[in-house]
Amino acid sequence: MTQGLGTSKESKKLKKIKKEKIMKDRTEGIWQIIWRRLKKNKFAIFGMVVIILLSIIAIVSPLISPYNPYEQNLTERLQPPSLKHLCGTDELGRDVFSRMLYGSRISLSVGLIAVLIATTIGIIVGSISGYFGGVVDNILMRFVDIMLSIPTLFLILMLIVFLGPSIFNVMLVIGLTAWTDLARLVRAEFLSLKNREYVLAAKAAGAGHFRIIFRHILPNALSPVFVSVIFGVAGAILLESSLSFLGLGVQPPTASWGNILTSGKDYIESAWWLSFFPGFAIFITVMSYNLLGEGLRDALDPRLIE
Amino acid sequence: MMSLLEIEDLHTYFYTSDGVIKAVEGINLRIDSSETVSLVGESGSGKTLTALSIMRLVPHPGKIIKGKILFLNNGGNVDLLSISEEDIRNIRGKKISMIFQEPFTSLNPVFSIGYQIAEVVRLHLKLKGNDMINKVKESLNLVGIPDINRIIKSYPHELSGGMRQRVMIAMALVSNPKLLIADEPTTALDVTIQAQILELISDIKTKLNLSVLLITHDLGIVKEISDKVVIMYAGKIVEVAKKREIFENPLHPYTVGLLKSVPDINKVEKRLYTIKGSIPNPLEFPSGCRFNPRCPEAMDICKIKEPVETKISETHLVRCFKYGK
Repeated sequence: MTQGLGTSKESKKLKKIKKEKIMKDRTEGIWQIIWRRLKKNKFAIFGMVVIILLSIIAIVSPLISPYNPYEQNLTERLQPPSLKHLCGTDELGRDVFSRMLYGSRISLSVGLIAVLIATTIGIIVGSISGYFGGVVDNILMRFVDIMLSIPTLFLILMLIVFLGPSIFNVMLVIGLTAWTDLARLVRAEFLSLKNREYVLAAKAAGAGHFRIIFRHILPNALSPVFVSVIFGVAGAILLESSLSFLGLGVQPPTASWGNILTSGKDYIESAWWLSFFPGFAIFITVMSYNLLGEGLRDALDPRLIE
Repeated sequence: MMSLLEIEDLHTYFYTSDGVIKAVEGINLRIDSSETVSLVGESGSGKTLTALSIMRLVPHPGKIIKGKILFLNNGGNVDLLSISEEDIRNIRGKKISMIFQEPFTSLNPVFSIGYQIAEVVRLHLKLKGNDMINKVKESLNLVGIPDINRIIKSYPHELSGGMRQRVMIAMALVSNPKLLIADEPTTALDVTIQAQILELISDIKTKLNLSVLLITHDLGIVKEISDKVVIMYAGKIVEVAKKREIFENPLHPYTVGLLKSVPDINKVEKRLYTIKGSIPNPLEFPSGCRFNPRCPEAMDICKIKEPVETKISETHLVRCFKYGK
């Protein structure tokens, strides 16, 4: 009896091994491989879940926000958090929770669009620089060097003063100053990839420069770009908050996490909730992007053997 | 017969910081239609560079500085070296295709096989949709790939070396070119697969009425499929002849040496013959005949003067003082 049980257990085990082998033999796409590796990283998954949740919240914020974020109610100024006002109210009696929900739209979209601009510029400059080399590379990279030698925040402040503070200008200016690292990264990838045999094969098949750069080389250079984009979003959100805090970003009464913080700084001793909640939101968002970025970097690294 | 490709006095030099490397110097070569020409030589003799010069894909800092490459295109001769970049792009992959040594690295790792072949179809044949897919399948069928519907969706890393080389050949032939340049197509494959690929190339050659320029250092392969053999040494052609003439009556001491270095299964040999020394430093080729320091039959004149091409017969040319000036 026991023996029989043993063999059935063994055969079950064997079946399991067989099944696993079949699963492994089945061809896996690159995304499946990345997902399988990413899944193992609990922190990255946590980051991803938080990002998805935040994005959903940002999209549906008008539906779920309990109050109008712009409606002032001077009788309920600086109320501490309660069931009525989850995150308290500010100096004008506006509901901080509602303002934060609306602010998430601004902060996340500024982060995403700024990074989109930066990524586009970075990819174009980096790939042209790396692919063509020579004089073109020299000119572009010296320009990058110049950009990198000016303190970023100072550069941004200068541009904002020049263009005038608005949500759109904040996105634009962050995008225009954040592409340099990515350009260097893409250039480095191109320098090594452009000498691969498949690039020569593509040339021999009659492909032009444009096609070779964007069709043949760029897809092979994308994994570091992904990682950099994710980290970039975190950086852009932080920058937007700093700018708004300095009063040069998103202008009140539009709510962004940065300018809720600004109004909170005058009451930091009497009304802690005004600076704590937006600060915490920035912290959790940036951390989530960083965790996901780090997880993605490991998942995309072919040198890390499972 | 009209020649398909005629290289006249081709010079391709590399301008490095150490000096000028005269990698290809004064090559004359003729390929007739549906002829297989083997270009044989050691590593560094300028074989691949000759091929890349035909495609105008000489890597930086190399430059084609002199010569003509006449190619029979739509009934007339065009000089590939003087046409515009756009015109040469229309010839690459459409009229002249090239396959490379390493079938793994020659396929783009991020795209499926079908996508990569389809790209060539789209580019040169301007086909779309089902016509395109059918053309891709047709070409894979031509090179004897089984289970085409699965292979089309596979990625390069999922295929074996032999399969990948078949895919490369399919991709090279899909636009029905006139000339196939095969740069050591079997060097990276094991022997049984080598035989299959060679058989495939010669099969397709007859089917499509294709000319082949085969670059190799393996005389076994040369014996297998070529019509004409061109022996290169240090950037120059030393001997050209029909295959039979090369194997039965090799004239140049270098050719003789190469043939002697091939082990013969019927003979008991203690030690394999080798040509002593190695290919000279391309920055400072020896004066006179470039082969003279390694030549067992070198005479005094070989160190001073360079021999010119001597015609032994209509089809046999040699560049050596033993046979002429």
